[in-house]
Amino acid sequence: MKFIQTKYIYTLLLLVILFSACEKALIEPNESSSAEKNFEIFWSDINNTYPFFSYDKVDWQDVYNANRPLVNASTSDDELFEIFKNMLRPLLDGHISLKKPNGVTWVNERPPYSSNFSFSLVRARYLNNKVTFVTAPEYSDKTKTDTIIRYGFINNNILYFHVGTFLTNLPIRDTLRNIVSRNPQLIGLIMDMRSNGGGILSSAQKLASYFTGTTQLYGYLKNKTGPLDHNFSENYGLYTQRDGFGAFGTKPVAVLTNRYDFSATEHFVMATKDLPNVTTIGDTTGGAFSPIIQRSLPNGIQYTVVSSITTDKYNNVFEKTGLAPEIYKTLTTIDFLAGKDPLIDAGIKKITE
Amino acid sequence: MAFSYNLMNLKKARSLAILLLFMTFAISSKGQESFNKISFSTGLAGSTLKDRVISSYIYKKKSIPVTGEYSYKGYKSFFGARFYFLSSKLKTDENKGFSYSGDLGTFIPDKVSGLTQSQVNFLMFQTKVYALGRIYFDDRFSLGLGGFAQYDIINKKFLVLDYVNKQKERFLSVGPQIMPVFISGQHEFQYALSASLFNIGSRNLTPEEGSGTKVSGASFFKNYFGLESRLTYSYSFSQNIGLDINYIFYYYQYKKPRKEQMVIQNLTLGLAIMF
Repeated sequence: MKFIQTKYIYTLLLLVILFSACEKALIEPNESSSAEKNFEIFWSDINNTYPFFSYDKVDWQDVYNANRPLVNASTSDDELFEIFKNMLRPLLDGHISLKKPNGVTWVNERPPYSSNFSFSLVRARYLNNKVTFVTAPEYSDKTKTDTIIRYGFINNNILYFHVGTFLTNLPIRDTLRNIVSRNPQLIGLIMDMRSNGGGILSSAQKLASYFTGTTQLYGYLKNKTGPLDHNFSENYGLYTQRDGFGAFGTKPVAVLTNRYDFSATEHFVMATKDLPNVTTIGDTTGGAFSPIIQRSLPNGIQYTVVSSITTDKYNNVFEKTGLAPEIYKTLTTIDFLAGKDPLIDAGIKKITE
Repeated sequence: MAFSYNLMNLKKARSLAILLLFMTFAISSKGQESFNKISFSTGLAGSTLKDRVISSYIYKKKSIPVTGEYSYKGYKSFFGARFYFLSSKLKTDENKGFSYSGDLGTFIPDKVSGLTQSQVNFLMFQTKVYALGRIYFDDRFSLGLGGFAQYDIINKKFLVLDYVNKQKERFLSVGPQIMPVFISGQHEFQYALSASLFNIGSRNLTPEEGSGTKVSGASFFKNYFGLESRLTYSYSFSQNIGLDINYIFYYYQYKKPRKEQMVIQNLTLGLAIMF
């Protein structure tokens, strides 16, 4: 009997030890090397927060399966950076970028689009070299100054107004309103938005309200709120921001765009393009509408991927595709050598017709 | 019985029941006793969670479980009912150093509504009933064979970006249970192994804003699997009072919409009342 008792107790203790050890057999431990951890964080964050997988037709799990075997304890940060690039390439988000701790930056490759823009050509051939520059402290470095606006007059009755960036505290709308109110002879306005990389959304929405005249809905934004594909917030309306101090009115406006217009600039174009007195001319915009969110990995690599979907007021998505102009125009080398900017010409024609 | 039910008041009935139960215990106390037992235990639980709905990280935490059980050991059968409660703030260090910020500034703060990106608030309430037939090998060693039904309420709370997500999981599961019992004087060793095979389960994910996701359904082994290995040592100070030391290994997995696995290992000490 004593033998049975001892045998039984040992058996039970053995079961306890066995099951204690079972945990690692049942739940496979994650790899602990730096490269593997950084890979898992990167993949997991995008897996839970990226909103466009269904638009991209990308199976992120397949991306994991294809790339995870490439990472092991000896993978260097530079190699990991290249792997991340390959993983991000199929995604359409126009805000995707990677940045090494040493500052080396990668943005998702795009075709080598022409900017269709030469300010020296505009200045010399259309503004008679009479240009006013409006500068402001740089947004991220106040010790430096940045040229925000360049403007002049074509034939003394068309205002040419180039907005270089929305990344500024300069009140662009007020600046434009002051110029317009001081020049009652104007018959129209060329808003040159070419190569404006965006910036502060509210700045673009305020400028747009100068043309809409009222606070107007122009689109929607919905945020990724949960880890699964359909976890989104309700649509938040995107509105122009009216201040009540007067609008541009109904005189014709030509908005010039190119493939290097991004983010807040695209919001401006989206908000104004359907107005009856506004004509968009040039090339399609860059296609990066949603607010940027930057992340940092433990190894110092930073990356930006959006976590929300922006649509126009008809719920159309223009991420990556961009907003097409009403009148498509390019600036070729031949045009440049001939001293012509077809976009400006089309703008003048539209205003004067 | 000279009394009829309609003549008995509650007090008399209770006294009679206690007397009869005591007699039952007294009669069988020399061999494989038949008795009722109520026990409450608490101690330390080590929890390990890998829930791919939340992330691919492993979350861990030690916390204090509370369990209570009523059981009956009869000459031919065992049956009982148990509850188990565990609340824990599970954490991971696998994403240490990650932040929603960079040289462009801070986009999402490290802590939102008391939660961090490395944290899962976990709550589990489990109720289980079991019934087993008893086979004797000798006067001290017997084997219980039967089945159980279990209902699990599991709530989790975690962050996605700066949105609090709540995940409610409800599992009703049944399966076989085997329970060898060895009794020697004041000492009792009891081992119980049970496996959930048939399951009706649901997981309901509700983000702080917008549309959620619910998956549910019944499955035989396919979507859900649970396993419990429980060792109890009981020592009786007297015929009515004893203590229990429990080691419980609990594992469950659920596959929808993404695979979830959890292990909880408990070591508890409790007070038992026999009657």
